[in-house]
Formats: sequence, C-alpha cells, structure tokens
Amino acid sequence: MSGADIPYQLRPNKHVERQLFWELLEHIDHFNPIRDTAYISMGGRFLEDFKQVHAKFGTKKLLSIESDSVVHERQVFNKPIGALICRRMTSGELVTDFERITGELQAKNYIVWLDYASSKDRLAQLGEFESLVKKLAANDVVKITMNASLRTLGEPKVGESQEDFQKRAFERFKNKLGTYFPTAAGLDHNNITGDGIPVILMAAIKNAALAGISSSSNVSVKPLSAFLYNDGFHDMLTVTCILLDKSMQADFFASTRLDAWEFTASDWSAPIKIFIPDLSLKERVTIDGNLFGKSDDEVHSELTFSFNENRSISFEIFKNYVTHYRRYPGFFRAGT
Amino acid sequence: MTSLTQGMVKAGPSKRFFVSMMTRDIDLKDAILDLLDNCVDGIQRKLKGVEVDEKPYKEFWAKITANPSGFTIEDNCAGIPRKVAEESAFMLGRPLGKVGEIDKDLHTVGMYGIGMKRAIFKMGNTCTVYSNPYGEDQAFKVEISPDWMENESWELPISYGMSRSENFGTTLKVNGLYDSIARNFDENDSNFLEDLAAAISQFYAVIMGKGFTVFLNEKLISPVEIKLLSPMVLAPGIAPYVFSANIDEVETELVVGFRRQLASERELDAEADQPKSSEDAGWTIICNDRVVLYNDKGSLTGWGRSNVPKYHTQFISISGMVIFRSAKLFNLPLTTTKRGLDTDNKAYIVALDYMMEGLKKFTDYTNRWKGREDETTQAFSQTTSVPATQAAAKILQSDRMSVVRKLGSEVNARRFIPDLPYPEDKNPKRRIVYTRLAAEIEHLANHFFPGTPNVAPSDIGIRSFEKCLDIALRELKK
Repeated sequence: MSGADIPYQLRPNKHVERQLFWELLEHIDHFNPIRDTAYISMGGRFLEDFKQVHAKFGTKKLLSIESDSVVHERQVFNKPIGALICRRMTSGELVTDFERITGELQAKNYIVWLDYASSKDRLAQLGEFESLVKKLAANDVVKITMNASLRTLGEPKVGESQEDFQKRAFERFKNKLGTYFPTAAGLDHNNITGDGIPVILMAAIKNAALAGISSSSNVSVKPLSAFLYNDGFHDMLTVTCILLDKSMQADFFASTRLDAWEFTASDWSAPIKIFIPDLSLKERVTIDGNLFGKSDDEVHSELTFSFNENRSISFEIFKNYVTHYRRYPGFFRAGT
Repeated sequence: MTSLTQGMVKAGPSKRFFVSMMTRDIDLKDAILDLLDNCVDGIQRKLKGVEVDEKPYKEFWAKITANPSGFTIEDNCAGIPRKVAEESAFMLGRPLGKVGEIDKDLHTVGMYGIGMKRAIFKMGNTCTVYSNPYGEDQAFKVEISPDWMENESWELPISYGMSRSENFGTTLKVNGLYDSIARNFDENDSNFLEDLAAAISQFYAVIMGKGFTVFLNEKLISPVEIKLLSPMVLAPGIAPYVFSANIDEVETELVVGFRRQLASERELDAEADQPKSSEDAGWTIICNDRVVLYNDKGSLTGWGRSNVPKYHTQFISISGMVIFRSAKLFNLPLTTTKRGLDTDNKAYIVALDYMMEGLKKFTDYTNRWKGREDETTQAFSQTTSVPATQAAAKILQSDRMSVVRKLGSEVNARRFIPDLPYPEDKNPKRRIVYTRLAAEIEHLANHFFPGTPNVAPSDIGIRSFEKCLDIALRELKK
C-alpha cells in the first residue's frame, strides 16, 4: 500500500511539507510573480495543491497530469477552477511533450512538480527529471519527490549480517541509480541507512539536475529546499530547485530573502527532516498553550505523556513539532 | 661563496618522436580521408566560399591509387599556393595566426595543419608532393626522403620550374610503404581498400553530393544518401523533427525522423540474427560538409542518455542528421582525426539536447505502436522518401517552425515538433509474450497449419490466442 491512498490532509508530515512549499513560493513571488507563472503537477484526486496555488497567488495557468483513467475522471469532476486543465498523460509524456505544453500555456515561467511515489523506476524518474531540466528556462522552478525508504532496498536474508546486507543493498542501489549514482561523493555501504539513503538520492538528483543544465553555460540550478518526511508508509525526499541566470543570482537572493528563511537548502548535501508527531486536539492545545511562555525543555518535561520511550528522542520529536506547530493541520469532523 | 651560473637545456621536439606519435593516433583510413579534406579545402579556396548551385564542386575530382608499391593522390583542386607551401603547409601544425589568414570566411575542415604530414608518415618513408597552384606562374615540388625522416632537420627542399601539368592541383606520392601498409593496399591480401571505399562514400557523402568525384584505383565511388520520410502535406502525422539555431557562430541544423516504416516483429527477429538494416539507422554528424560521425547509435548522439532509450533493433527505422557550419573552424566540434566529436564543444552540447528531444519523439512512437506496426501503414503512406536535407528544408521553409523558449531569439533557435499519431485508446491492444518448448510449438503448427513448412512462432501464437478466445467467448454465452 502506498501513502497515495490517504488524503494528505490526514498526513501531518506531508501537510507540513506542502505548507513549506507554499512558503518557498511566497519568497520566490518577490522575485518573479507566481501569478504569472504556470503551475504543473500531479494533482491527485482532489487537486489540493491547485486549489492552494490558485488561492494564494491567483495563478490561472494550471495543468494537472494523471495517467490513471479512474483518478483522471475524478479530477475532471473535482476540478476546483475552470482554468485548470486536467490531462491524462504520464510524467514521461509531460517531459517529452513539454515544449508543446509550454506552447499551449504560453506562460513566462513554469513551476513543475514531478511527484513520484514508486521506488521501482528511480533511474527513469531521474532521467525524466534531467530531461525536464534541459527544457526549462531561467527562473523556472522544478520540484521532485522520490521514495527514499530504506526498506525499498530489501531486508537482510536469514543469516546475513547487517554489513553484508548493506554491501548488497549498496550495489543494488548503485545499479538502480545508474549514471546518476554519485560516485564522486565518497559513499559506501555504510550509507545504507534510513538517513543515508536520502543523502545518496539527493546527490543523484543533483547529478541529474547538473546534467540537465550542461548545455546552458549561463544558467545554474540552485536547490532551494529539501525535505525528508514519512508519509505514513514511506520516507519521501522532496527537493525544489530553480534555474537561475548566473548574473541574476545575487538579485534573486536579495529579492526573495531566502538566505534568511530557516528552511533554505544551502547545498545538495542533506534534506531537513520533518517528523512531527500525530497529536490529539487536547495534546495540541496543552502544548500550544505553554509554548514560548516557558522553555521548550520545560514544556516537554511537564507533559504527562511522551512521544518515545527514549526521553531524548521524545524531545527531538517535540522540538520538530515546535518548529512546525503553525503549519500543523487541524481537522475536525464536519457534516455535509 | 659559489657564484650562480646559467645555461640552457634542450627542450625541442625530437622528429622521430613526433613522427611516431602522430601516426599512432589515427588509423590509415582516416589518414587518407585527411588528404581528401585538403582537396576540398583547396576547392573552397578557389571558389572563395561561393556556392552558386547545388553542385558547386562538379568540376573537381581526386584520384587515389593505392597498391603495394605505392600510394598516390592526385587532384585538380587548385593546388597549394607557393607562399603557403613555403611558410606553413609542410610545418607540423599551423603557425599562429596563419589559419585565419588563409581560410578567413571559408568553410574548410583543415584546422591543425597536420593531416598531410601525418598521412605521409603513416604510410611510408619517401614522398613527393608536386603542386601546380591556380593563379600562380610556376609549379613546385617538395621531397621527403628516408634520410630526412631520420635526421633532426625541420626543413625540406623545394624545387621550382618543372613542367606544368594540365590541371591546377596537387599530386602526392608516397613510396617506401611500410609492410603493414603495403599489405593493406594489396587487394588479394586485405579488404582495406573495400573499407576505404565505403568510408569515402559515407564520410564524403555531402561533398560528393555537391559534385566532387573521387576515384579509388580508377573506380568511381558513389556517395551514400541519408534519406528520411517526408510528409506529402505538412499536417499532423509522420514528419521529421527539425531544429535550427546559430550557436557560437556555428549554424546548427538537425533533422531526425523515420527513414522507413516501422519494422515488423518478424523482421526484427531476423535482424537480431543477422543485422543488416540497422547499419542505416542512427545519427550522422556533418561539420562543414564533412561527415564526422556516420549512423552513430551510441551515447555520443543521445542514445541511452537521460530519458532516451539505448539503441535497439526496434529503432531500426530512426535516422537523423546534424549539420554544423562555420567559418570559425575552432568553433566546430571537430577532433583532429575528424572522426567522432569534440564533446566539450558548445554547439554540440546545445545541439545534443535537441537531438535527444527529437529522438525521443520517434522512440516513443515506435514503443507506442509496438506489436501493432501494421496499423501504422496508413500514416506512413502519407510520406515519401527524400534526402534528409530536403526533408529538413521543406519544414525550415514552412511557417511551422517555432521559437525555442529556453534558448530565445538571441541564437535564433527554432524548431518543429511533429504531431505523431497515437493509437486509438478506445479498444487498446496489449502485448503477450511467452516462451514454450519448440517441440510443443511444432505440434501446434501441425495442428493449425497442416502441411505448411516453417510457420513463424508468432503466427502460431496469434492463432492459439484466437482459438482460446473463441472457446472462452462461447463458454461465456452458455
């Protein structure tokens, strides 16, 4: 089962990541208005991100792609705004036909989100990402989400040592990433861990992005944010980058003030983890009522419950909640 | 206290080292093609770059004679100007600044000034270069002797005033062939001359297409022709992808498409056993009319890179051509051997993105119609086979080229993306592939096609499926 079957409003980590994406776009908006930019993504059944991008920025050039005919039919039914085009096509077709699509949407710039859930075709996914980057122009934004779960690399066989498993899984992962595998990063089987896989994958995304701009000597590709979160089933890595004319880089950071945003990715080295706990309304109200009136340590110590039997891990989870409490989803049962 | 003294050490090149090193980096075929390049550069100089019609080179020829006793190449391509002979033609590498002066505004391919010397050194130890330059008052002769090859002198004797041949041109004779070379030139001992003829027909395809004629041991060599299917009417359907731009002062034009109908499964099986048709698929790259890569199917031309699949026989129908032209030779993606590409070259790096973009359209189309190739016959019937340059020209001259957003108008980048047909989605087809024992398949062949020899396994598979479906449908109705 994949996380795709649960609406993401009910997956707090994913919800927070989406909020952070809108925050990032708000920053970019100061440099290049999102209103005039086309937004292309895989909107799922409810097209939630299209509602958001339209509501926040007034973007009208919207294209959702979907390969599943059943989901596509529901998208057409759920379409929140008339301007949204719901097209039945694969991500591969989007990339191959990207110029035709830009001809159709006629936007100055594009935000394209390749939201991959499957761990099976990472090489093809990175290939599509590279091809898309090749077709993007300066000031276009591209986001890629990939499955970064350790368990997608299998488990130790009966009698196999952890080290032997890691060596085997490392070779397998290397193979799966093909030419995008970051050979120069000095990685080895010790990186086959929950934290190591996203680092390898992020370096592979970097390689694909750089291959994508290899023909554009005056353009660079800058990572703007990188997050790792668990969507309920898998660890997902999501990286957003922008193509920038080299002469505009200083202007970009001055206008967007992204240097001051605490979640800006300074390089391609590692994602920021989002691992907030599931909280009941009562728990949230209790914590929020004490936040910033006391130290985080005090608030956590005074809780009559914890998030992990290990006190320090519990505190880490708590701190992550404190970081994102403003972005925490609040859902209530509603009658219709 | 000891006083400091100064002196000099020898740091010049050793001739023997130079000669042996230069010849190792090139094979014999390419070394001979280098000599033909000099002929074409001579034509360019005589015509001053002006090409009046489609066959501007029709009066020019080169005659190669190669046998175990010697090698000769004779041409009527205007000869070597005396000044050039005296100051640079026999130097190893062109002196600074000279390249611009000699060939300014010309689309030549001789850039490093090593081709002729390298070819001579590759083949033998004795050589005579006779030239009767156009527009000058006397002919001259330069001789290279075995002694010169061994000594450290870098000067060669030149003599003037000998009788003039009826043509303005150059005759280069190499004798004292090295054993391996003499063997290559022996038709009874080696098929080298056959390979050389094939290479000339491929690598000189464009130049010969412009009228230049090449004879090898008195036999005329015909150029290969790269053809593509071009739509009779430019409408949605089968048509080539075309891109053009001016990158770094290099006029870049590329066209890729189908050169023939999609191959049937049966043909692909035969091709896998004995590749024939595949040789004609792939990318051909041309720099200033000189083919530098012929029907390439590797990553250099985008196959297996990014989202483009690796070459496979199923892509037998896809062919493409990239034409780079520039008066600035160093801006072209040429290597010193003129075989392969300078992959750091800007024009090539930019073009590669669009080669891949175009290629992907046709690999996708091939994959989409896999197993139902027969249904594409109608679409292909709307096309005719024409030379690739003509297929490109038709689109370039139409109003269907659109500006490439990413590159913008600065480099005048435009492209045409064909609207290739999709299979009907209403009743989609799926492919079934399975393997069974040959003996069992034969039983079915005897059952379904009694008395018919050599029934294709795919036909037996289709008949089996039809029979099973029939049974299943009948049972469902009960």
